[in-house]
Amino acid sequence: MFRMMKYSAAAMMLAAPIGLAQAQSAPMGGMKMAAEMPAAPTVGEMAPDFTAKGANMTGTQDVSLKALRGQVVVLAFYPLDRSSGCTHEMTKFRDEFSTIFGSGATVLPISEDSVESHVGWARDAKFPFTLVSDTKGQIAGQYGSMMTGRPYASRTVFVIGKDGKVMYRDMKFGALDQHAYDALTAAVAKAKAE
Amino acid sequence: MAQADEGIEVGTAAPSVVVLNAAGKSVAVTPTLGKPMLIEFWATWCEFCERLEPTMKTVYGKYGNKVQFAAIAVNVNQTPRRVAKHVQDRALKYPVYYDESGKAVSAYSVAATSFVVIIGKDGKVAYTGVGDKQDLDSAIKKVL
Repeated sequence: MFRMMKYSAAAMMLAAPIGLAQAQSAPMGGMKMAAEMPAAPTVGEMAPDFTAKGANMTGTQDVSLKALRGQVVVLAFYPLDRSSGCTHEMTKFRDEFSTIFGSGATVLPISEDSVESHVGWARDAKFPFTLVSDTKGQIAGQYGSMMTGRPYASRTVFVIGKDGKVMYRDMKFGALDQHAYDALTAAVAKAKAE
Repeated sequence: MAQADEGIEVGTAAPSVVVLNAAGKSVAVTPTLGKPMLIEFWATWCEFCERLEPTMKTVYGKYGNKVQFAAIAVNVNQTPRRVAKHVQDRALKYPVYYDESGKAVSAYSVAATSFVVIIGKDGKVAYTGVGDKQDLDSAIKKVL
């Protein structure tokens, strides 16, 4: 018989409005090759600011990382809306929102999909967070999160503390690895406690 | 379903991974030179996997003596006990393992359940696919 593993289920949380400042989309310089992109910020470094369009169940809104200073922010880069692995990751974030993130953390999944794609997916899946549209991969580039040789973001997560500094990062987040979610949960809790 | 997810690339050398067997012991799932191998990453909650199950049973019955099979259950949202019950309830005959450490998923860059990898006699990945409509019979014939 396999050894027993612990698994905590959590109820789905409905979307709550988040205080996102009005902002303009950042100028796009076209997608660069991964090799030209800056390295991902390491733990202790300031998280690069960005402004972009986001979407949730209720529609679109502007997202500014700087405007969220004072809150714990989780950035979760992923390849593509509605793809199998991303669906698993986002629905797990949704279903276990209170366990993984809880109150006091703003979760911003980011992909290169359009705002329109995000709106449709957010409504269909009833995501309790805002999906950020990074159509040119500029934000993913700032975070060293472009897939090598492919026009998609890689699957990474960053936990940003209230002071705007990176407190945790996973540059190869395992959508099908419970340990990855457990580590993220611990990192978020630690960031909220500071 | 859209496909943009990761997954080990065809042509790369297939890694050996350590997983738990049905007895709860750590074992290595290792491609053997000279004998093809099929690995499925699956979950009890995966609808695609459920729909792929008849195909898995068919190809195992047809090629089980020529191809090494390994169905590796991922460690997310299921317990080893639930996996063992599923194996019993569905009368799965092919070898089933549990990726307790998550290292097998990582080694094969698996982002989706129902991900199938077929490894050729040379130890290199010859086929990858995901979903319930995979033509595993044709893929296996190419590596025999």
